[in-house]
Amino acid sequence: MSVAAQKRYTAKDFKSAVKPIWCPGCGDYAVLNALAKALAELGRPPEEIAIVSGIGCSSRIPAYTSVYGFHGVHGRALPLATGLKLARPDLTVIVTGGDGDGFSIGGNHFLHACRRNVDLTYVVMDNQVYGMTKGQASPTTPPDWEGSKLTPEGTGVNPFQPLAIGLAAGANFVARCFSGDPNNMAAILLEGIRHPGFSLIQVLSPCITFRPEQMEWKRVVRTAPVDFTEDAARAARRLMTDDGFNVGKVLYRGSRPAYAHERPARATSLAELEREFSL
Amino acid sequence: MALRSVSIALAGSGGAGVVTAGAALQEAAARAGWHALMSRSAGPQIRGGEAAALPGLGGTLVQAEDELASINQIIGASWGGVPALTATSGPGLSLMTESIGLAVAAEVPVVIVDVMRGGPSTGIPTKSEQSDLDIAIHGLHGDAPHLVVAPVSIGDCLFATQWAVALAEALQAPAIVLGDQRLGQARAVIERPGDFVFAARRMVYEGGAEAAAYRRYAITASGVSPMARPGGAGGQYTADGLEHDEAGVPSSRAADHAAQLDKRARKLECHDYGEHWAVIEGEGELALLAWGSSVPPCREALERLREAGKPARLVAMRLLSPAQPEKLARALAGVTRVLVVEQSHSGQFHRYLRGSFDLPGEVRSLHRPGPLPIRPAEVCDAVRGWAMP
Repeated sequence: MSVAAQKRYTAKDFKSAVKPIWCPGCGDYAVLNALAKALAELGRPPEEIAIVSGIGCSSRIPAYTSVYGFHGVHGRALPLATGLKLARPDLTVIVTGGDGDGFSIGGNHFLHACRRNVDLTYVVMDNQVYGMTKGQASPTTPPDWEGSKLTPEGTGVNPFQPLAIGLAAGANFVARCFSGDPNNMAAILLEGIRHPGFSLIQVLSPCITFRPEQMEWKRVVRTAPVDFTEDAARAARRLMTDDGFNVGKVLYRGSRPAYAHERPARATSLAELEREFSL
Repeated sequence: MALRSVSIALAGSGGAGVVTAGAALQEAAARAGWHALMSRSAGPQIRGGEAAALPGLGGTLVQAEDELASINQIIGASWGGVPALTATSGPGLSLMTESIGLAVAAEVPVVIVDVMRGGPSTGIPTKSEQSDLDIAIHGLHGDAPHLVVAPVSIGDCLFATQWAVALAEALQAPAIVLGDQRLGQARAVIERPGDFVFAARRMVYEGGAEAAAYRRYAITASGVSPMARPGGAGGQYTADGLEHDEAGVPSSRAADHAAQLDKRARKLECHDYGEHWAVIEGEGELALLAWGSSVPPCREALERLREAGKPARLVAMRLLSPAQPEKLARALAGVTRVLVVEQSHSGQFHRYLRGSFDLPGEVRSLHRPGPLPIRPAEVCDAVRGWAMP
């Protein structure tokens, strides 16, 4: 570890001067603060951390931090982060985004990132709505939500269950937290970052502009009644039977080693490879 | 930071067999110091070719779930400081185009090899055609300057790909290498290629200044601005597909948009591509103008025409985009007849030449679709009866 890494950091060291575009009251402010706090506690200097995101309100986070950031295209943050982490395993790589970015346009990458288990931490700010485009139903929106002009009678489609699906696909760490409890969130983010392999953290982060009823979430959420399990079947059962508001705890910790597909060299030099082609 | 040597490669499904050009591509990669490759396709580029050969020097292998993933994986790897390449065939290139635009906007060097086959849609997998020229040159939304390079022979796959890597790195822009099944799955005996050394390198920000002073997308005379590498203190910035100002902060201001568009265009316009832009052979008032796998039959036709007392010259374009109209004009000095040869139903190359270059004298176009190869006799027939001055 470098000398710089031994410096004590504060959350302020991980924030930039760029002003967020978010609406007043958005849950993402608290996620940004918790992330900065978690990174300060991690103790690595800002330049050794990269945050990668796609498109959406929450995907704006990288520019609001002082670390290396990549704000890519809609739905492709996970593969971009996968390439970065495999090329640069020395970096701490975090992926941030929303429910639309991650589970709709990016759904296939989500499945394969979980099963590939590259050492990434994926923080999904779930507000059950496309906020940036002014309020359409997202994959996690309940079927009877009538707040969108696009689907005024609701979508009639059952919501995507990110944690159960992530667990089934092979995510190595699964947790849910609430943006209204930033200290707890910071602790869980730090735990996810430190856990090897693919860590999936769902943050219930209200969009009070397009889902004002989510202001009730602070009264609805409860601390999950049990601690984490290392038994995926048990974790799956809990996830399939809860109402989505058990927060503040890690739900599952797996022990699969992080992705490393080292290929043995069959030649030690280019000259040796070239000789294979000679007549 | 010491760069770790990683090959991040993707193997698709497909048959077996040794593929000369595929192997040449892989060697070009290694020679160019290119360490990361990701691809997902069952197209001609992967069937028994480079997928088997690439990680010859060891490294990490990742099989991407789709082409949307592979293009973004190489963008991530390259942004991390490791030169990166992916290979695909036509449909895969279509899937990748949005993110190739991201590499343009965020100024991340990447190389995409498209081994073309008959299209559109699933088309004729995997038989040869040169019909991805339009999408390679014009397929990105927005004004998105990038490079398009094509090998002029199997042996040239090595040089052309290595040159494309060097150009992408130097210009911090995506480069598309257009091969086709005829180049990618044919065998040929070639002379051992020499060692190519390209002076062009990625301009890396070495730090030193205050973090607040570093501007990733600084407006410079050449359009190229130093690129910080994650891990480097003081270089932190957010790469962005959103239009941005010089510091990389998202901006929708007209002045920032114009300045960044100019910067990205200037990088490619100001670069000196030297003599590598084309291979020129022979002399005469008749010129054959071709690219990719249409070049070898033209070369043979050139011989036949010479034997028949009709000397001609061949201009085989290796750099397809950005267009080099002045170089082509010099190459065609004294020419009064031009035959454009390509394997595409609509004459994509001919249309491109008409739009971006001035062609001298009388111009004819020999264009037809694949999968049957263009034959030297067709080229000779096309100029037969063409009154020579």
